[in-house]
This record gives sequence, C-alpha cells and structure tokens, in this order.
Amino acid sequence: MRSQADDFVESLYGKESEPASAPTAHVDTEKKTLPDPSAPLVWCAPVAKHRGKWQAGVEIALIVALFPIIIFGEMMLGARTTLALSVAVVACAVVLFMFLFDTRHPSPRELVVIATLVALAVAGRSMFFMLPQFKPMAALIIIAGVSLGQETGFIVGSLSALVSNMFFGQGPWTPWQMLAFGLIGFVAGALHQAHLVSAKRIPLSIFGFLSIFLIYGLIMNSASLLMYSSEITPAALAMFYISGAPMDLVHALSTVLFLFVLARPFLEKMERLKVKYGLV
Amino acid sequence: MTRSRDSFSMSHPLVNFAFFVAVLGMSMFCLHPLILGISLVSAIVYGVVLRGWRHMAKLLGVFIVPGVIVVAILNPAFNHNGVTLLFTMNDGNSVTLEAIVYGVVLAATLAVTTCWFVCVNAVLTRDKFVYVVGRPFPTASLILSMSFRFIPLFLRQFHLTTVSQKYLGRDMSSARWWQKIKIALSVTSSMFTWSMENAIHVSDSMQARGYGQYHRRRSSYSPYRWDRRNVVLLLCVVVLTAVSLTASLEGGLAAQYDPVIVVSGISGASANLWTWIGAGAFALLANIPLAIRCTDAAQWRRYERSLNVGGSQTSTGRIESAWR
Repeated sequence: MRSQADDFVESLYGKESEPASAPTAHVDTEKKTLPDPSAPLVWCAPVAKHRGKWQAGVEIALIVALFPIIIFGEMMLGARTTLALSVAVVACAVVLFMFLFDTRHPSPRELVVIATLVALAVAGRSMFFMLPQFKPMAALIIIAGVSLGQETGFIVGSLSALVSNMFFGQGPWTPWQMLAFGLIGFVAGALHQAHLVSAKRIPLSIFGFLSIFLIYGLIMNSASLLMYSSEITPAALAMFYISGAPMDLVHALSTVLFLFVLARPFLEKMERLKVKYGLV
Repeated sequence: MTRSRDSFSMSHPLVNFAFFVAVLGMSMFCLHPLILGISLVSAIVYGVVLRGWRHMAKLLGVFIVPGVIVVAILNPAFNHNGVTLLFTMNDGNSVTLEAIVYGVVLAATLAVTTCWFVCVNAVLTRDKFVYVVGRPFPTASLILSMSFRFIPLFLRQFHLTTVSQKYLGRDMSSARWWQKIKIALSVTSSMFTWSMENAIHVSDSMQARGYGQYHRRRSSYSPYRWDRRNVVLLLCVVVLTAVSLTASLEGGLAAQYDPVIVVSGISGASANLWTWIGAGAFALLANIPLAIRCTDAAQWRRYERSLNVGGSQTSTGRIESAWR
C-alpha cells in the first residue's frame, strides 16, 4: 500500500528502518537484564519480607517480661542494684527492638517514611519548645503506630526521643524516654490491630490521654523513683506521680489536642500513601 | 572555640562513649562519698573547660541546687529506716540521721550526673552518635542521619508554606485567633503531604541507586581514624575502670546507709588499701580528658617556643592568634 507520498518521503529521508527490527531489540534488552541467580537485581529490589510470627512473639514476650523483672529485682535486691538492673533491662529492650528491625532489612520506603515521621515529631517539638511539655511528639507517634503497625510505632517513638534529646540535651532520662515513647507507639499499633482502638478521633484521643499517664508517666516516674529515692515503695511512687502530675497533665492534654485535630487528616494522608505507593 | 580545640572531643567516638559509660556508671551506682566528690569536682572542672564557667554557674544555680534540695528533703519523708532517731513527726513517723544522709548522697548523684551530662552534650555530637549507633544498627543510624537532614528542611519548607499562604490572603500575623488556628492547620496539612511525598521521592531515588542490595558488603563513610593514641586512651579507660570495679567488689568502696551507715574509710568501717586504690583509679579515670588537654597544651607551647627560636616575633603572634 505504498503511495506517492511515501516515495517522496523516502527520497528525502532515506529508507525507513524496518519494523521487524523492533522485536530483536526487545530480545537484546531482555538478554541484558537477564537475572544472575547469584547476584540480586539492582533495579527491582524485592520488598522487605514481613516479619515472622516468632519475631512478634519475642517482642511481646519482651514487653511482658520487662516489668516483672524490675519488680522482682526490687524485691530481691537493694535500691541501687535495682537501678542498675532496670537500666540494663531498658537498654536491652531498646537494643533488641532495634536488632529485630535491623535484621528485617526494611525497604527504603519504610526507612525514609520513618525518618520523616521522626523529623516531623522533633520539628513539631521545636516549634512549641517555649511551652514546657506541650509537644506533639506522642500524637505523631500514636498516628505512626496506628497506620504503620506496632513495630514501626516503636521505632518511630524511640528514635524521636533520641533525636529530640540530641537537640534539647541528653540526660539520664534518655533511655527511659526512648522506651516510653517506643512503647506508646507499640501499644497504639497493637491495640489498633486487635480492634480495641479504632482509628477515629475520639478513641485515639482517649488512648492518647491514657497513654501519657499510664505508659509515659509510669516509666518516667519509676525512673526518677529508682534514681533519686532511697525507699522504693508504692507510696513513694505515688508521691512522684503526684509531684509530676501537672506536667503530665499538660503533656496529656497537648497530646489529646493534637490527636483530636490531626488524627483524621494525617491518617487519611497515610492511607492515601499506602494505597498509592504500596507503603508497608 | 574552646570546643574545637578540646583534645578528648577529637579522639575516636568509641573512646568517648567508653569513658562516659564508665564514669557515669561508677558515679550512679557507687554511692561512696569519696567517689561522688571526685566525680563532682572533675565534672564541674571539665564542664567549665568545655562550656565556660557562666554556663556551669547558671546550671548549678537554676537546676542543680533546687533539685538537690528537693531530693535531700523528700528522702527522709519516705525513708523511716535507721537506728539514729532524731525526732518524731506529728503523724508518728520518725526522722532518722541515716535517712537524711542517704537523701544527701542521692542528691549528690543527681548533681554529679547532671554535671557530667553537660560534658556529654558537648563532646558527643550528632555525627558521633550516628557513627556509634551505625556500627551495630546500620538502618537505625541511617534513619538518624536522614532525620537530622529533614528537620531543617521541614522547618524551611514550613516557612515557605506560610509565606505562600500569606500571599494567598491568609496572613497569620494579622488574622484573628480562630483564623490563625485555621491557617496553621492548613499549613500543617500541606506540610505533612509535602514531607511524605518527599519521602517517596527520596526512597525511590535510593532504590534506583541500589540501596539495600548488598547488606553485607555495603560500608559507610566515617571521618574517624582508629590510631595508636586511641588504643592507648581506650586501654587507660578500661584498665582504670577495671581497677576501680575490683576495688568496689573487694569492699574498698562499700557504702551502706540503711539501716546503719557503713562507709569504708569514713564511718563504720576502716579504710583499707582497696579504698585508696579504687579512689585513686577513679580520680585518674575521671580526669583523663583534662589530662590530655593539659599535655596537648603543654606540647603546643613547646612547639611554639621552638618556632620562636628560628622565626620572628610576629609570625608566632599570628599563629597564636589563629589558634585562639
């Protein structure tokens, strides 16, 4: 079906390349990118495998074992030995979580999203730094735990505590804060997966309030009790709780405020990212 | 200025970490007054060297002294153990000498750890943290360094967003308070979307460059060199810590405040050889940074003098001013 126009075009530009050459080129590229079974491909990195059941089991056993170990140590030993023991247990818990996260070889998407959440939490704290204890960190950590799962929640929580202390000053409280914020993220994710806390404004706000008093308050007040009190009794713990209550209340109310306002839009945005980019 | 010239800060991060773990551990867990006193003096001197006496004086006045008073007063209120009864409170609880002493000792640990953490914050900079975390946990240290980069980026983007909202007619500074909250929320919302999209771009770029392909073979850059000076320093830290730990295990640094005060060398027990060995080793350990700094300064002065022999007066003066 050659027309005069085709001849004219041919005389001007020379002979057109054969359409039959296209399949051979295709074969060529396929040959080039044939996977070497020994070396993994660079261009289509496999998505990180989801953690096995045993890993989740280890994590939960760890958390369950944490408090009895501290209480047992307290009963059996003197005050300072309890402090040494509990610092060791806290460090072991954080290190084990990091280790489990590291051996999973998380995908770059997961890594960068975690780094972004950590940076947002710390940047948020730095914006309100003139108001003591008024910080959006716990709210963002809870949102991360709910939308990305318990393990990511723990990593986001503990690393935000570490990074924010690098800006606002480290102290003996750093390991305790890492554990406390990590646990807030972990518990948020675990309760959401167990359908006990739904991803809605009111339940999340209630959880946020309780998590500050029951998780953060318990861990930080026990830490100061262990460090600066000679007598480790429930009455002394209650005294530390009461003396820290105004600060904890400000922290809890700010968390509730941020969750009430930000939970829905942020969770929706995370959901959109998960659908659009296949996150996690 | 002084910080960049501190010799201990310039040594390998592992040495810095080992030193602070050893010193903080000894001062937190060993309640012997001799150890606490040595630790407090060394921490304050090193803190003054690192941050200046104004900073330390402010810290002492604003945080440490009130905290110490609170801890020292609260302890006798809860601890009623002890054999030396001073008086009985209205509610029937007794106040004992042992409880007061114990409170003062715990308050001293509060002061000591706060002073040491001034030095920790000055010496252990963010890059050192990233390096030390990166040895066992490469992904965690990658997250740390990425978030260090993201924080200023986000703050800058936040500023850009507020400015662009301002020229859309949503000016934060002139709006009423409920409008202010509304504008802040819309800025936060767009910030979150922007940062998450940014995360996707960054991760795609990482994946395109082959991140995560060779977990074992991948190395990371670090500017730190492990040389002989660091080996010597680490050996000093380890040996001195081992000596003082042995001393405390042998009972030389035993300290008990409940129910009877038994502090070796001060009351209840006589000082033995281990007390002096342990305290001496700890004094050497806690003053390692100061010692290095002093020897380095002395060496520098010697070089300067040797330069002065051949060169003119002005050239030395210039070198001196460059280093100040």
